[in-house]
Amino acid sequence: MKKIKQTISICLIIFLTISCTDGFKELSKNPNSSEFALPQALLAPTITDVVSRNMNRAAKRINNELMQVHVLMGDVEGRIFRYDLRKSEADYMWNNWYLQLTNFKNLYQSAEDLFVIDGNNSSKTYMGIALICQAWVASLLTDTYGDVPYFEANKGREGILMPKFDRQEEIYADIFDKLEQANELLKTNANLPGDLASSDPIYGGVALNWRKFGNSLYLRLLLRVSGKAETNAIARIQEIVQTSPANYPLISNNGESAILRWTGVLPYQSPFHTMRDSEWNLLKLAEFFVNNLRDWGDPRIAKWATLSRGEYAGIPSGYPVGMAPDPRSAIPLALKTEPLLGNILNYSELQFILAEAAARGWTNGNAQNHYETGITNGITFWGYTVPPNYLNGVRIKWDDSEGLSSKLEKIQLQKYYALFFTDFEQWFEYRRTGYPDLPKGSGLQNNGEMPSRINYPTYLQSTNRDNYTEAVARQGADDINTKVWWQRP
Amino acid sequence: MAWGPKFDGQMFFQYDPVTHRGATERTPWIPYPDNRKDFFETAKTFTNTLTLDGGTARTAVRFSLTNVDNTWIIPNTGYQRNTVALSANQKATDKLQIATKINYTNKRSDNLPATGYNNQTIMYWNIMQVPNGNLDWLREYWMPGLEGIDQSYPFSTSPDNPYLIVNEMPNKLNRNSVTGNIQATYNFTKDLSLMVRTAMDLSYENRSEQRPMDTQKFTYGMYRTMNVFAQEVNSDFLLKYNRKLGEKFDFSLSAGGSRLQNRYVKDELRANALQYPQVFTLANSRDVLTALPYRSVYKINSLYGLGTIGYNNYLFLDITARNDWNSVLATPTSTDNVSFFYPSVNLSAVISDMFKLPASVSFAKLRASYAGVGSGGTRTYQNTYAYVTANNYSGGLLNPTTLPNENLKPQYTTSYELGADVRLFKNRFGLDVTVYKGNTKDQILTATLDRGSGYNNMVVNGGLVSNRGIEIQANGVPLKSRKGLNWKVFATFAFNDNKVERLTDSLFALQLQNTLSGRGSIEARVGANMSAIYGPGYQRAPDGQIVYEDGYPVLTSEPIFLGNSNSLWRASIGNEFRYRQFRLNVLVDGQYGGKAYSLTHALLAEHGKLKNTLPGRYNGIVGKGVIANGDGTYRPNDVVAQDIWTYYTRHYGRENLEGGMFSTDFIKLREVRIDYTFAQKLNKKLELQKATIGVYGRDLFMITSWPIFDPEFGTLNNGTIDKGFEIAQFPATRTFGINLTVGF
Repeated sequence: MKKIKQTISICLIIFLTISCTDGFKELSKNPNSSEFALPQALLAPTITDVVSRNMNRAAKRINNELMQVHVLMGDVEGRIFRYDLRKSEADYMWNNWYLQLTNFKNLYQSAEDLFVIDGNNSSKTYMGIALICQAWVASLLTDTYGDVPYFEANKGREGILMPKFDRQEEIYADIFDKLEQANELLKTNANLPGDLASSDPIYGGVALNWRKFGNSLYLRLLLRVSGKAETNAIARIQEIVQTSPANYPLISNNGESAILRWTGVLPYQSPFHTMRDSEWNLLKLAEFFVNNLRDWGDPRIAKWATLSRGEYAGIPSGYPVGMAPDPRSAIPLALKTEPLLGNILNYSELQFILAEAAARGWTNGNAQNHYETGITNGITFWGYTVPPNYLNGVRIKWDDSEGLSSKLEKIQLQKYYALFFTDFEQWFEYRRTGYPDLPKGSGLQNNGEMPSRINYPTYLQSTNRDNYTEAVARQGADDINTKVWWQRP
Repeated sequence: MAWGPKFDGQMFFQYDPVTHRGATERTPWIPYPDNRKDFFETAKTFTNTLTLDGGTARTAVRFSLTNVDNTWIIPNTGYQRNTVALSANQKATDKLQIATKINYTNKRSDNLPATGYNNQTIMYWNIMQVPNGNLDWLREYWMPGLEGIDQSYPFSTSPDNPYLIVNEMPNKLNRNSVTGNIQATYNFTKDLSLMVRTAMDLSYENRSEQRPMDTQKFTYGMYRTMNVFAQEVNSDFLLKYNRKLGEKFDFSLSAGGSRLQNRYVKDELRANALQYPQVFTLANSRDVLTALPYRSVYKINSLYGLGTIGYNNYLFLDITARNDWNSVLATPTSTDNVSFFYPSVNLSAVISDMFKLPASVSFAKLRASYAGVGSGGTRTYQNTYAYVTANNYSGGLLNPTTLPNENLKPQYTTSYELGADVRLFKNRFGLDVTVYKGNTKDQILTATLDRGSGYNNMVVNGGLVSNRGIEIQANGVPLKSRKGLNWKVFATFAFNDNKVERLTDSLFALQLQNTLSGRGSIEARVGANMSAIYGPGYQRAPDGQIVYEDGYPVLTSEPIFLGNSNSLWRASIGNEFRYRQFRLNVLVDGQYGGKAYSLTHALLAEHGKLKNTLPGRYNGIVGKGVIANGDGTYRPNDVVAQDIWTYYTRHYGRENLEGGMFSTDFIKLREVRIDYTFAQKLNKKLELQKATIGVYGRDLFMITSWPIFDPEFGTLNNGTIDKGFEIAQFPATRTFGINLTVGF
C-alpha cells in the first residue's frame, strides 16, 4: 500500500510539472509570415499583379476579342469575338481585383499609421498612391460589372463577409473624392527616399508624377460619367483643365505616362513572356485593327503586326462557326516581352480626353491641337517618327467644320490605338460613345449587340445571396446586356 | 476536335512524321481506335519480404526486410521501396519488460505521374487526343535537329507531347523515413503497472520537378527542388491498476498522459526559366532563384483516465475522460481555446450469460454508449493574421487571402450508439448491428467568400452537422466440414445520413469547394447534406421536361442542386470456400446514393469524341423536351437543331454542370483469390515449416453508370483529397497477381 501511495505521488508530481500549455503562445506565431507590413512592402507586388492580370485577361482574352484587335482562332471554348461571353468569365477579374484592393487599402492604412508615428511626408506620398490605385481598381470593377460592393468592401477582417452592392453613381462620387484627396496629399511633393524608390515600379517614387497620373485618371473617369448631369462632371472637367490647372497637374509627355514597364528581370517580367511561340501565334489580327494602320501608313504597324505573304492583312472578326477565313497577320513575338504593354494611362490617351472635352465645348482648348498632339505622341511613344503628311490622311485629317459626332468618331478611332493593351478601356469607351465604328460579322451572337457588362460571378449567389439579389433587382437582369448607370441614356 | 465528316476513305494532307511538318502528299485519313489505350503499359509490382523470428524465454525478436519494385501503367513511371523492420521484446527482470520497434523505409522514384486538368499531365493529353492521330507520330517528341529546344506536337498547341511529358518531365522523389518506439512496462505488483513509451516518426524527403524548354507552361524550361523534413514525437505513459472487489466485481482504473510534438520544415527552390536547354540544375537558372520556405510546429498535450467496472463478467461499465491541449488553437496573445475535455460512457451486457436464452443463441451482447470527441485539427496558423511573402519582390509582402479565425475553437462530436452482437447456432451465424447518431459542432472548415470581402475564403467553426446511420456486420458458416467443403460468408452494410442542422451567422450557405472556374461548388446548406453539389443545370418546365429554345436546351442562370457526392450506403459480401488445401475468396462490394461530376466527359463531349454525340451529325436532331409558349404553357419541342456542336456542348459541355453529373453507384468484383497451402507431408519433404501459394485478381469487374473511368476517385487539391468533381482522372486498373509464402 505504501508503495502504491509512493507511486501515485510521483505521478502527481509528474503531472504538475508538465505544464500543459507552456510555450503555446510562442508556437502559435506563424514563422512563415510577417505581423506587420510597411507601405513599401505592399506596393510593388500589388500593382504588378493588377497590371499583369489586366494584360492577360482583361485585354488579351476579352477586350481585344470584343474590340476586334485580334481573333483567337485556335480554341474550342466560347469564342468571345462572337460575343459568346460565358458566365464563367466573370470570376477571374472580380476575384483578383478585390483581393488586390485589400492590399491597396492596407497600403493606405499602413502609410497613415506611419505618418502618425514619424510625420514623414513620404508617408503622405504612399497614401496618395494608395488612393489613386484604389480609385483605379474600383473604377475597373464598376465599369465592368455595374453596381458592386464598395463602401463595405474589403472589410472581411472587420467581420463584413457579405458586403452590400453600392450604386455606381455613389461609387463614382467617392472615387472622385479619393482622387481629390490624393491630389491634396501629393502636394507635399515628397518623393520616396532613395531606398524606398525601388518599391514603386511605375514612377520610382516621384510624387509629382503620381499626382499627374491621378489627375489624368480623374479626367478619364469624369469623361466616362459626363453623360450624367448629376455628377457635375462637365464643371469639374472645366475646373481641372481650365480654371485651376495649376492645382491639377496632368501628364505632360510620354515619359510621365503611367506604365508598368516590363524590364524582363524578375519580378517585372511580362505575363506573356513564358508563352510558347506557337500559342502566341494563335492570335491573328483582325481586319479592323490592321487595315486602318496599313491604310494610314502608320509606322506602329511594324511593331504590332507581322507580315503575311509580304503584306499586312487582317481577318474579319465575327465570322460564323465553320467559316474560318485564312489567317493572316499575327501579333509579333517581340510583344511578348514589350515593356509598353504594361500600359495604365498614357499621355496620348489624355490628349484625346482633352480633345473631346474641347470639341464638346466644355473647355476652351483647341480640339485639333489636342487631337494631333495625341496622335503624334501615340506614334513617338512607340519609338517612331510621324510620317510626313500623316495628319492629313483619310479619316485622320481634322475638319473643324464637321459636326460633333464626326469629330468624336475621329478622336475615338485614334484613341482606340492609344489604348492598345490597356485592360478594358477600348471596350468601356465603345460602350460610352459607340466608337470606333466596328464592323459586325454575320456570326455574332447576342443579336449582334456588343456586351454592355460582364455578369456577376455565379458563386455570389451562394456566398452573398441577399445582397446579390438586391443588386440585381435594382440594376437589372444579371446578364451581359443590362446597361450600367453611366451607359444608360 | 471530332466534329468533322465521317471517316470514309478520304485522302487529306496530314502530318509527315519524318519532317515533323505538314505532308506534301495526301495520305489516307483513317481513325486509330487504340491511339489512347496504346499509350499505356501494363504495370508490374514485385514485392519480396523476408522475416526472421526468434527468441528465448525472456526475449523475442523479429526482423523483416521488404522490397517493392513497381513500374506503372504510364511509361517511365514507378517507384522502389525498401523497408527494414526490427522489433524486440525483453523481460529484463520479473517486473520490467522492455519492447522496441523500429522501421526504416526508403521510397524512391525516378518519375511520379502528375495528375489534374492542366496541359502538363497525361490525362489532359488523353482528352485532347484526336481520332485521326496516329500515336506513333508522337514518339519522336523533338523537332529534328532541335532536341531540347523545340517540341514536336502536330495537332494543337494545348497539350504537351505525352512522350515528352513522361520522358523529359520527371518528378523525382527520394524519401527516407524512420518510425519507431521504445516502451517499458514495470509491474509494481500484480495489480499495479506503469507503461512509459516514446514513439517517433521521422522523415526526410527530397523531391524535384523539371520541364525542358518549349513546353506549354514553361517556354524556358523549369527546375525545382524541394526538401521536406517532418518529425513527430509522441511520449506517453499509462498507469494501470486492477482489483477484484469482492466476489463479483472487477475493477480497473488507468490514468495516463501524452505529449506530442510535430515539426514540419519544407524548403523549396525554383528556377522558373533555364539558361541552357537540358541542364537541370539550380545553377542553370536564368533568373534569380525563387525561395519558398515553410515551417510549422505544433504540440498536443493530453491527460486521460479510463475506468472499467465489471460485474460477474457479464455486465461492464466503461468510463473515459480526456483533456487535450492543442497549440494549434493558441494565438500569440491567448490560450483560451486551447483546452477541451471529452468523456465517454459505455455500458455493455453479455445477455447470453445473464439470462438463460434459447440454445440456438450461443452469444448475445448489447451495448449502449455516449461519447464525446474533441479535436483542434492539425492545421497550424489558421487563427492569426499574418502577411505572406511576395515572392521575388525584395521585402515584398501581401495580405493573406484566407481570413483567419482569431477565435478558432475546437470542434466537438457527440455521438450516441446502440449495438448488438449476436451469435447463433454455436457461432455458425453472427450478426453485429450498430445504430448511431452523432452531432458535430464547430467543425473547422474553410469556406469560400465573396471576394468583395477582400479575401478568398475564411476559416470557420461551422455550425452543427448531424450524422445518423446504421452499420451491420454479418457472418455465417453455411458449410462446415473437416475433410469436405467449408464455406464462410461475411457481409457488411453501412448507411449514413448526413444533415446540416445549423450554420453560423445566419449564412445562406457555406461553400466548401468552388471549382471549374466557379461553375461548380459543394455547399453546406441548412437541412441538406453537407456534400451537396451545386451548379448550372437545365431549365425545366413544371412537369420536369427540359426547356428548349431554337432547338437548343436552355440552362439556368443560377446554380441548382445536382446531387450529393457522399453515398448513402456501402455494402460488401465476401465468400470464403475452403476444400482441403485450397481456399477461394470472393469479395464483392458496392455503394449507392452518391453523384459526381465528370470533367473528362464534359470535355470529350465538347470535342465530339464521345459516341453519345453522334446522333444528329448529318441530319440535325430534335431534342426531347418542350418549348415555352410565352404565356406559361409549353409545347413539345419540334425544332431541328442544325448546329450539332452547339447542341451537344449545351447538353454536356462545361457550362451545363447537370449534363456532366453521373451517379457514382457501383458494384465491383473487388477480389478473387485462390490459395493453396502445402500439406504437412509436402512440407516435410521440402524441409519447410509452412508454404502457401496464391493467385489473385483485384478490381476485376465493375457495374456502374459512371462513364470515365472509376466512380471511386478523388481529386488532389493542395494536400487534401476532394470528392465530387472528377478532374482528368487516371484510368482504373485491373490487377492480377501471384504470391508465394514459405516459412522455415
